[in-house]
Amino acid sequence: MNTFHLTIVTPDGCKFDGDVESVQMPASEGSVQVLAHHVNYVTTLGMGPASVGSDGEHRKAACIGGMFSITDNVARLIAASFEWADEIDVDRAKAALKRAEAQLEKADIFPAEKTLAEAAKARALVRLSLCDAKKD
Amino acid sequence: MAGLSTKAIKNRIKSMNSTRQITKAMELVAASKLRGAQQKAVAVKEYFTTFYQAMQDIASSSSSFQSKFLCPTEGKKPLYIVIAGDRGLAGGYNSNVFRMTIGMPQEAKVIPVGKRSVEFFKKRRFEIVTDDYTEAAALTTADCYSLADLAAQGFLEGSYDSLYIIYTNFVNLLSQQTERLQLLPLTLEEKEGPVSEKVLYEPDAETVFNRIVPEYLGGLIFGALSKSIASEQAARRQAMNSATKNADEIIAELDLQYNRARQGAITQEITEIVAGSNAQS
Repeated sequence: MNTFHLTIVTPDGCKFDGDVESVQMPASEGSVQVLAHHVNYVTTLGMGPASVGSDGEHRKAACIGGMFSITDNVARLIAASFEWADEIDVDRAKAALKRAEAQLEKADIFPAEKTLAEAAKARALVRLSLCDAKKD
Repeated sequence: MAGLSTKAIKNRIKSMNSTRQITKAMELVAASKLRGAQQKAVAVKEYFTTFYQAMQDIASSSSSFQSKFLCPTEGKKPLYIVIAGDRGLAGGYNSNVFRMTIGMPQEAKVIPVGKRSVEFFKKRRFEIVTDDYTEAAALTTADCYSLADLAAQGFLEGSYDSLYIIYTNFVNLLSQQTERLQLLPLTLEEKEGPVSEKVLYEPDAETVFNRIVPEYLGGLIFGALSKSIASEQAARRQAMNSATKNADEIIAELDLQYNRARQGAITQEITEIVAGSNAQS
């Protein structure tokens, strides 16, 4: 199968650097999968599950924010946070979800706090959804 | 012996020793924290360079490219993000940061990061946008992104027309440099060479650009923060190292004094005994 080079960078350092067959990610306009020899392409990322396919295997990850670009068969995924499914801290995600839900239940919540809490909830849900997938 | 008694000198040596122990411990703690902070500061560099390249590509993708983030402004309503330390005893680290703020107009708005920074601007009655970011060492990447979102939104709404960040660049273990950087409006260097041919932007180049600017700023702020934290630890390690050396010197000096005083006292005693027995015989 045709492959292309992919690097995944986050503020915490390089997460992945190697040749892959496909990459699927949560673009802002919906989930997108990119294969080798894709036309030069740039998009922004939302949050959701991502998966990287190489040697017939698919590795899942939680991807949050950032952008993706592929130029001449060299792809770069720059994310605010990119965690492989086996790296996710389930307890932390569960705690974050609880905290966010408690915040959202407050009656006197500020609009700014509400957006923050909603974003935190969404992040936690993305992480937890991958942890469930891991168990299956 | 002139001056202090042996008892007084001994007390001073004791107190010097305990001070030395504290400074030595602080030096070791700073050194171990420095290692982690340094790794972070290096890791974020790659993220930042990749991001910068991508933005350059987009901005030079077409001659008609426009973004509010790129428009030059008068710079009359600046917003400053000032990163200083949470604690003192770090040599000139904090005061160097504050020296950088001297040219700041009084009408400037500020987002202070770090306990010392918050205290400094409260005392000088600057308008503080938010003091949510009090503890520099506890900030996560998510905090940096929300800070960047806040700043980018305020810029688009016109609450301020330029954004600066004051932080300490980590040059190496022995040298840290306080720097002021303009974040908004963005200045992108013109790309050299031919502009990359057709690229598909989804949904379109401007939307992509405007969406990634806050993320880019978040990355920049996180980078500046990591460098500042590494600098703070390096500065503290150095300050505590010289404090320990000073204490060592003083202790050596006092030891000498103590031995002299003790010797003096013994000599005097012997003289007295000899004089006494001479008088008897």
